Amino acid sequence: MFNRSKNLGTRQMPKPATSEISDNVLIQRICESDTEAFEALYKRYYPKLFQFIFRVTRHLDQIEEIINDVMYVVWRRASSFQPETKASTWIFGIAYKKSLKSLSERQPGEHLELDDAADLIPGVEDSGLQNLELEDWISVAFSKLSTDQRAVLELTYHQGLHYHEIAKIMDCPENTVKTRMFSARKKIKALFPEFLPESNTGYRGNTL
Amino acid sequence: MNTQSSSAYLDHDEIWLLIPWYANGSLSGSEHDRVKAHVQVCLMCRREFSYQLMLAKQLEHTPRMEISSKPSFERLMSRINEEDSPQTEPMIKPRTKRREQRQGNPQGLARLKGLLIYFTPPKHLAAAFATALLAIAIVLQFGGIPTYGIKDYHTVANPHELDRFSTQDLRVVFADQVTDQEISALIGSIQGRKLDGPNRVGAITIRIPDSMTADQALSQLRDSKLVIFAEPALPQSGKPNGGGG
Repeated sequence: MFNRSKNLGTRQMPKPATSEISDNVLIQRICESDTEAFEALYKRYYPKLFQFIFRVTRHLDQIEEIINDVMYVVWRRASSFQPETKASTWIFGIAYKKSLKSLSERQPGEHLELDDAADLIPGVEDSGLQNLELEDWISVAFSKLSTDQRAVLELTYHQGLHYHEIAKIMDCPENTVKTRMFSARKKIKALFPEFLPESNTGYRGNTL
Repeated sequence: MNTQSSSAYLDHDEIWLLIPWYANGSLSGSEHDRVKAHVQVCLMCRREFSYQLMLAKQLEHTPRMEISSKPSFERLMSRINEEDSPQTEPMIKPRTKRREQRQGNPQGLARLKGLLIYFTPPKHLAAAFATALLAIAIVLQFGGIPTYGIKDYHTVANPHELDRFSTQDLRVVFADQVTDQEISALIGSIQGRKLDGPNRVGAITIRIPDSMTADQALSQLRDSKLVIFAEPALPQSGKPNGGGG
């Protein structure tokens, strides 16, 4: 656990560029109320959290609010971070909880779809939103999965995490992660059987 | 069949569950070796591994977008600073505040605008975006819908300063990554000079010479990838006469 202090601007050593600093060091500096370190960590995690929260919640209009709720906790509770844990596990764990909370607070029908955004803002259909929501075929599959299954798929394949880490993030047993993934795989395969390889040609024995 | 391959078959159900993490490369040590040995001898698992590799490839793909986290970060810091400031009014619980925002206040719109900036739409649409957002803000403010937190809504121009500007003055917001040199070069390309700014929302006021019309300069600015927003400093209607500067 890091100690929070209000040590501002008293460092003697020259600071390395924030992009080269590890997450753990940035969090340690956040404990000293270092806003530069906080901004660096924010920038680093913004795209990752954006992708993860979108995959889990599937609501475009709440993503920034959830990201800021997550990073608010990081700022306020940096001193409770356990350095032996991976920072990404801690941050994604907060993001997962905040995403679930946001989904539970949402009223039925309270949803800003891309089509609605296009009505409100001319030209939005030419923006990257469509790439994310419509051209991304996997969105179709994700819409058929439960929140938990979407989170496991996203953390496995987009974030490249081990199931052990995913279990920590989702605060559940490792076997539950495997089961959720198993169910998700079954659903996706039922939806997109054409991706099933005809033979084993896709496999290269020495790939891994 | 040798002993090694027969024991590899015995693990089938367990290995089947682990294939996604074999495909994402996160397994290591004996766990990795066990899956690898099994996949070599089990046709079903080999096919499943190929399928998972393809799925992983699809999921790894993220649409490439220019990301601007700065406006969001600034909003978060305002929230933190507001709470830390001893003069602040009693804090509204985040949950309550969120519900109020969903009822359609301008802060929520500012957030939506931030989201759209994140996706960096074509520059020629920036004015349309801004106009649409302004129209919505006006409807919300005067249409009888609660306008909680209106004091936090930022406009690019400060209405109290409008009499300082002429029809040759433009408000421009540049992308986050733009350097001072690039800004100077862009201002130079329209023969303009920096008059003011950046203000608290990052807008710079530029004065262009009489030899160029505001429309020409705006069109040139909006064509640049470095510009997020470019509009006349004065509202289009009610321009003061003879203020060509």
